[in-house]
Amino acid sequence: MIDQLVQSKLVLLGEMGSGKTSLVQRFVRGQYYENQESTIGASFFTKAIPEKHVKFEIWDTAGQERYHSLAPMYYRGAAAAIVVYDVTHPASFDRAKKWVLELRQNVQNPNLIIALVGNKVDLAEDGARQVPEADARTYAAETGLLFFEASAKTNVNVAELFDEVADRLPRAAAPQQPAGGIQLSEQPTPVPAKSSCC
Amino acid sequence: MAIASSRTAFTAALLLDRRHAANTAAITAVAVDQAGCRLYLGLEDGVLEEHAILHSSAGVRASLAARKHAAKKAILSIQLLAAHGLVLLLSEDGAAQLLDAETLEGQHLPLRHAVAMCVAMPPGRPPRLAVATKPGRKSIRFVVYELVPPAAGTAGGTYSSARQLPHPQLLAQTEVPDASSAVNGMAWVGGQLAVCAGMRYLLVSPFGPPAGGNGNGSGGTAGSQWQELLAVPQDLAYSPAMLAAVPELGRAVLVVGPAGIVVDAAGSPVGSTVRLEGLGATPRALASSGPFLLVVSEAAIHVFSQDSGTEVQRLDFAPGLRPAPGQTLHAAPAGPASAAGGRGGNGEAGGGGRTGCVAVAGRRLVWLCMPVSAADQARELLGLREFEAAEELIERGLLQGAAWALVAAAQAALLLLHECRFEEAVRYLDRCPPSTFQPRQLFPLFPSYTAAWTGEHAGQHRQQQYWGLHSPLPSLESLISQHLASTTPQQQQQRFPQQQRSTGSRVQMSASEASRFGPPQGSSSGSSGLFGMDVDGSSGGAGSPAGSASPAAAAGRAQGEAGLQRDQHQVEPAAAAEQNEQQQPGSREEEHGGRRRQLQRQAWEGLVQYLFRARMIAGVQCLEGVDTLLLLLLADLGAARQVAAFAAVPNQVDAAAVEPRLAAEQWHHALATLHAARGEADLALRIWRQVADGQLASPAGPEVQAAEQREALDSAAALLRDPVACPEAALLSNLPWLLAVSQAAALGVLTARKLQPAAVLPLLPPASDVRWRYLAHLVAAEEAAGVPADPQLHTELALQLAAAILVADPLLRLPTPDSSATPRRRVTGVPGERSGTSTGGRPPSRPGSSSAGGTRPLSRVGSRSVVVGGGGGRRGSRSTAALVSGGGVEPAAGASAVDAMRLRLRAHLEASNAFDAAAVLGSLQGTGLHEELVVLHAQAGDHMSALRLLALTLHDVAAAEAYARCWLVPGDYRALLHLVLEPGPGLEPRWGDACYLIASLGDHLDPQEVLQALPPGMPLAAAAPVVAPMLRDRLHRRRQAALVKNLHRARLAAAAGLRCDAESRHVAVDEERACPYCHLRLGGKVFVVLQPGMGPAGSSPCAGASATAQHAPAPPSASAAAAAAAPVHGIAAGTASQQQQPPSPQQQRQQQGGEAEEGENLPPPGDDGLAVAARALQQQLADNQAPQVLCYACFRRLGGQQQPAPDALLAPA
Repeated sequence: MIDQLVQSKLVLLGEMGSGKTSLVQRFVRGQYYENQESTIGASFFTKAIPEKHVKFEIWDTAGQERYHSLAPMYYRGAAAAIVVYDVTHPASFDRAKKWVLELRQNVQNPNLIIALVGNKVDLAEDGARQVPEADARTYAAETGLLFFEASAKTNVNVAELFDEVADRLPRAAAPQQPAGGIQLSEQPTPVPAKSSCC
Repeated sequence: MAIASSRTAFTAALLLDRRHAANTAAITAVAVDQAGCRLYLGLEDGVLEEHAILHSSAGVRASLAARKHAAKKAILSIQLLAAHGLVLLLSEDGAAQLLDAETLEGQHLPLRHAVAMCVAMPPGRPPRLAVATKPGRKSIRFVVYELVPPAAGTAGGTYSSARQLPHPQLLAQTEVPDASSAVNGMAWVGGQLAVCAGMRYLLVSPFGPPAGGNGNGSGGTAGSQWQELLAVPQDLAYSPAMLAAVPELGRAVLVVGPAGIVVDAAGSPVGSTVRLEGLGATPRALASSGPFLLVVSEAAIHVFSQDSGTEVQRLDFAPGLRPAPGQTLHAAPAGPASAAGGRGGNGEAGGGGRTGCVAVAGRRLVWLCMPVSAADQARELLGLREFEAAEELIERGLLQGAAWALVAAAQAALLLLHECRFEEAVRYLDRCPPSTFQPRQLFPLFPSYTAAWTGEHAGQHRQQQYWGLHSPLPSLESLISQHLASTTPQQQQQRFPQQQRSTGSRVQMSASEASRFGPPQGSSSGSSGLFGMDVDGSSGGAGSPAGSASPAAAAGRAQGEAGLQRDQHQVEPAAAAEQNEQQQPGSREEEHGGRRRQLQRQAWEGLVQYLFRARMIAGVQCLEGVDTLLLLLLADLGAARQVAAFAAVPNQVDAAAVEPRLAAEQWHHALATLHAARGEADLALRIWRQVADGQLASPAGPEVQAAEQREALDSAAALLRDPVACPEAALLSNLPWLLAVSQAAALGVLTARKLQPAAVLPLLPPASDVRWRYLAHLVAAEEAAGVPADPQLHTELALQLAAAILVADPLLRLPTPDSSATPRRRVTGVPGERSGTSTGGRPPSRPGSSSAGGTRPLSRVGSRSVVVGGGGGRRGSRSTAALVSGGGVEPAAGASAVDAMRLRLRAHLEASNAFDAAAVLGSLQGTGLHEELVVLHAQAGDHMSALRLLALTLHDVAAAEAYARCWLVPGDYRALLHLVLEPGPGLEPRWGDACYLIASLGDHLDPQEVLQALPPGMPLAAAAPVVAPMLRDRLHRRRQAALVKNLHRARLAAAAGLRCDAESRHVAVDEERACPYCHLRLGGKVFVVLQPGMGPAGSSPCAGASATAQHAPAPPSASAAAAAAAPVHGIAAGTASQQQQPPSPQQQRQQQGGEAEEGENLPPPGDDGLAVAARALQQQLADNQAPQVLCYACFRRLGGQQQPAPDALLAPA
């Protein structure tokens, strides 16, 4: 029975092609597609983890730079953020660092959980690794991030990543979503009457 | 207009072609009313045209209805408020007009430089109009009017116009700094305004800052009335910024390059992005209609689903009508619906129109996009087997309670059955009530199982056609064969990912998706506790042997193993295809067979789930056939445990139809359960008896067989316990068998039901445990019911208990001789307590000769539970049974069965007054059940016999002493002493016990009797152990008495002293008594009695004469007494003096100070006599002489400076 689930907004950020959508697809649907299309804008998923009393509202953002200006809409009000980089592309790791910095600067939630995820670790076995795990782990430790090396393709550390984020959530109260909808108590602002000269 | 894509959400038709019209002015604005009956066009020359839209079977066409030159310049926007009969115009010259829809006459709004406007109809309030004006280059001003109806305007005293147009009442206005050249669009989003200004999107709150503050905007300041949602980046600026309102949801769609972002009233994104990247052209206009978003590009009109963000339909422009590149296009959704009658969905409207229409206009062409009803869309999608898209529509229809959705669900289920997508089909079937879909409609899938009901319900069994998209259901085998034959191996391989994708998308969509379908997806284990089937073949439990005699069941289990692999199957399309190419032909055949079995098992599992849920819904027809089919499908699945569970619940299974199958499967327990549930107790019991006796054994191993036998026995016992399911005759006929198999089970049955004892008792073996327990149950039931006790039952219980004890412990058949030197072990109720040998330090028994004790009857005293005080040994309030048991009558933990039975017998003998004492006594005499005999004698009042048993047979003189205290009067204690001194012929006197009794009951016994009983020639050494304790006891008693006597004397002396002291304080005042100072008779005057020992200061006249008011000591307050004519004894004075508290140190200091002061001050002249008298009085009191009596006047003169307390004075009587 799913009851008393705490809804938590989770946003995935990272360089284009780092595997954000694949991670989410693996987590939500248990599937992996070799030729995943690029995300346009953002994709929305939900996934409940009943045993942890958490329901994730996952925003998978587009990694292309041209969509960068849209990201604040998605990570604003988030309780957790997963910053993804590709272990075979050092540039994506640098981009991930910028995302972390941007999150630190722009998100007002002091309890925001940020997880740094090195994806495509299955390729590291073939010698394609370009980002040493130690470097990423050190950076994560220095900046207070959760750190995982995962593979959406081989389903390594994907569930563990989200479980760990879910475990951290109860200690980090998710900020209240901005009030939406129609304000029922809305009262028109009285317009001051024009003063006349006579 | 050509229609692309597979779904028809809208149909589009060219409504108006103005290319050859007389007025060739280009269209600059378009609007259509909610009903789709009126079209308004704004032209570049300021002309407003109203066209009537005529819907007919041939299509739609527009007919010019009115035309007016409304503005000097091009009309940029037309807003309709059809419910209020209003048309609002915005022209290029910055003027906004409010027109009457009938006459197109109206008035200008009092503003200038208007660049955009939008209307909203908040519920319960007048329409609201927002106008954006651009008074300067660096800001935008937003003005909000409320269009108050004429009546309200009149009531307010502000007549708007002669045309009774609403009065625009200014509600709010705010100004936003903005340097963009134009406002491309504006829409109400809840109480906010979403504004597209240049290449950025703003959220303006004209009524004040939103409750959430400035949380979402990057522009503006905290608490301001606007915020910037986002600015379109330069990379995405190839597509113009535009927005569309979704008024039904209070949202807006913002176009950012190839993405359409849906935001809510807080500016937060909602749902997935609308993917516009596949348009192939630049979007030029937007409009929302129901759940769809229409995007107009130069190539086509694209219909997107707002839920999924994907394009569902494309309406291409005809080649000759295609807009020119860069041409301005307009899209206008139907005007806002009124709060009362508006409908957001698609459907027919009154007057032949359609709600949800969207008008699309180019420069001179106008198309009308008309929504297709959801039912038609679903029908089309189902016809195209687009189940995923159809599901979305069906679910929405079900949520809205639409009748067509039920039909669509049933239709989809049948189509999915034909596709062998059983799980999905069952999910649809679960949504269909019996009025839409009857479970019997599935009977054709299993013709061999349902043949009996197919003919019976031939009239009703006709397949419903619904939308006629499916063919009649063949048998399941044929269905699967056809499916396998029609699909290639690659398609079969790809089936899984396809199903998984469809499943995943449901997970993705929203939270409500998860609860959309009743049962969970994939596995059947979570949907029903009864049918949470295990697919690992272990569902049989005790009643399900591993091997089965039925080939069908064996095949079902094999299929179950194959089904396990399904859940773990993760096929990736490319890899699957690659593997498929490498497969050998032989393996393909095997896979084909495996796939068949897999599908078959899926069908069984899914339909079993459905049938079990459906059969419990009211209105299901042919329930007998449904239940029978359900049970047989469970048998096909090899789920013996579930079969038995289903058989146990009330059902209408045709037992004759399933019995051969269950018998063939050797599921005897299930078959018996089925018979039992149907009220056929004899049949059920017969099967269970055969199973329990091993006559019907499964071919499984010994452990399984043993489990089956236990289960059969338990089930039979459970059935026998049920008075409704099993009549008494059936019980009695099976009781001997049950007794032979399990007496415990038999006892459980006998005690669970109310039976005739006369019929039951002859069946119970004598002296058996079950017999006396049943009798005990009957006796307890008698007591509980409050009916008079049946002597026969009570006697029988005692006799059977005694017999059972003797059977259980044959040694008890032999009596213990009285001469035995070793006391018999006694049954105790308290762990560790063993009575009979511990006698509190009394000397050990030793044999001696004595005559028989007296057997005279003793009078019974008091109640059975007597509180006995004094003496040694066991004492207190105890029943005889507890006394002889050494504690309580409840068996202790770890007590043996014999001990428990003996305790039970004692308790019964003591508690019951109804049994035949003589008969019970006859059965107990001559046995070793001495304690029970004690209880029996006590009940009969033969206390001498009881004492003899205790003291002589059981050698428990302490128990005998306690018994005597309970039952005998003290005068009869001698009988016990005589009993131990003269135990009878051949028995030695028990000197030690006698000494113990003398010590315990010494107040009532004479030691001389013991001494006299000693043999005359007894050596002193032999008599010493007897005499010495008695002498010690007597000496102790004498010393104790002397001590008590002297203590009493001391108390008497103290009391006499107190009396003397009290008498010395007595004062007798009579009429002759005179005051010793004034020598006047006291007579009737008030007088004062001063007791000796009172403080000198208290009566110091010097102190009273010389002290100040603060330091003056109070006169003795409690020593005054009044004298009357009659002599008065001043006892009160003495008492009062005892109550006077000694002076505190402070008072003493004051007194000392007073004395010192007295020494320093000279006495007043003329008072020397009084001072002497006062000192004399003080001296007398200090010397503890006799009390002094003086009149009150002298008392005052001598020292009283203050009035004594009134209560200290006794007025003359």
